[in-house]
Amino acid sequence: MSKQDSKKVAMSDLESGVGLDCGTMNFVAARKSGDSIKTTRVRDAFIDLPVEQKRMLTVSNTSYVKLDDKLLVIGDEALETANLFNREARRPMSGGVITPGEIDAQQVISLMLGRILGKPVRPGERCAYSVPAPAVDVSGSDVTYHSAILKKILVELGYSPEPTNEAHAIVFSECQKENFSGLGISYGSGMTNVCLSYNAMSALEFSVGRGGDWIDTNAARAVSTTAAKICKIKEDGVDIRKPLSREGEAVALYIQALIDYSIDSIIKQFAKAKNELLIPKPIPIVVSGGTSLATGFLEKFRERFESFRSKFPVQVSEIRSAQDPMTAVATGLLLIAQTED
Amino acid sequence: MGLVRVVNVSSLSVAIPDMLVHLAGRGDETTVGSDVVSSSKDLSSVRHLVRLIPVVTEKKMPLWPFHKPGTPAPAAPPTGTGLTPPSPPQSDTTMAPTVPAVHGDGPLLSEIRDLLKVLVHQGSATSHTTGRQSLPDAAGPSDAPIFIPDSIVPRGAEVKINMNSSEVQKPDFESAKNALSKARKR
Repeated sequence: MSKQDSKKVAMSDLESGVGLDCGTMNFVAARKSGDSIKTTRVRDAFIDLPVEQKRMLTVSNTSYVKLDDKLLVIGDEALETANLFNREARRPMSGGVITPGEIDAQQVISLMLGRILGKPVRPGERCAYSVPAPAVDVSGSDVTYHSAILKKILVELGYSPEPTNEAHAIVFSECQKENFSGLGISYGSGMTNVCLSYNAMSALEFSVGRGGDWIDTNAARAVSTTAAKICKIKEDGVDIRKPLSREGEAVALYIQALIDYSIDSIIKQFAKAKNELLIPKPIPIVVSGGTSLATGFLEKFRERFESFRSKFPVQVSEIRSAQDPMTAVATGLLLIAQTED
Repeated sequence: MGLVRVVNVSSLSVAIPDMLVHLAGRGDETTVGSDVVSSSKDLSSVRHLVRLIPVVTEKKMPLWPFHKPGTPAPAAPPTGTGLTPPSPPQSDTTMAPTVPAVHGDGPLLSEIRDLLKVLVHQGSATSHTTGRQSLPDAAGPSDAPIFIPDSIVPRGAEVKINMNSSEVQKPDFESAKNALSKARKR
């Protein structure tokens, strides 16, 4: 069997309908094949280099895009290259949404999405993609442009796009045994999204403009280092219960501040809608997102939650982490893409 | 006093007691005076659930080459031509262009008319902006049109992107799919 034939067989194994998590830090696509869920991920970052460097990139097997007369290093390698040249990598998204007017960034995003999604299994294949809720603490927060650009890209790639709130997708992925009732919290890089879902229906959605980037920036300022270095320390694995360095202590402090801020925001937003929300039975809280990967995050969340429990507006049956916080949103979206309306 | 449309952008019903506003659900809207908006204290607690859109009322101004027929006296035909004088208009409330009555300056008039259209358009856009800024809480989603490029995905780009892949067994996916389908139908 030729390579091309095996590729065709592999494509035919995939079921129609794909989930796409569009995060500030990572793009993740999820597809179903038999009893398996296949996920593909690419880091949402790039950096431009002189075109003369292309040979070096080819030899070193580095991800790149040559666009007209521009050479862009893409993904994880963009961050490594940025450190090598003592520069900052460019991020196509900030604060959870696509930066308006960054045409370069939009083109790069479209190429990244084309790569992780592949070609549609059939023309007009459904693609459920994640969108954040507007941030309640950011003046003029609007996700309309972000959602419209992603939709346009997906249509150009041959898909039928369907936007879904990212925190709602966590409930779809993780709360089947509760009939898709739960409070999903997505601790992402650009923001933190919250969705209260009851019997698969969204009752309350909002976000706050603080996430992993906020931790990096503030921890870096506290210990006089760079946000990129704090991010690296975080991703290498930091135990926030027993931090071993000043940087680790700063990360632990700001993670706790983020947890407190998010729980307090939930209480305030619930209070505004208290007459509309009647949740008759206890529901679980599911925490997810890259920022929740820090060792000890769930324990810290549970500990901090206890100090807010008396004010918390709904009864909570348990607090748990998503099975895989990096792919939970994409998996929930896959479920939406494959479910008939 | 201007008017402001209050539009519910949440999935919840929204009540603003001191404005006597109750919006049933997403998309429900009502129109109130801008002074009601600026004096409301209850609005701030639900500001994130509603969108305030100033109602723009364009000023009607008779612009040349349009005129109210009948306002100027119709020119009498020269004596001796045998033509009857035009009858006076039945109503002076309708507007009609005079351009067809003018001969010889068609292209020039067309150009002037286009220029006037541009000026009128710019005028209404300015008043719209001023209206928004005068609101007590102008923060919120922008009402400005969104520019979406015709084509975003670049054709002919040289692309080599490495990606991280993983695969997990999820035998309960089908049952989750069925459960979600049932829940959504309910």
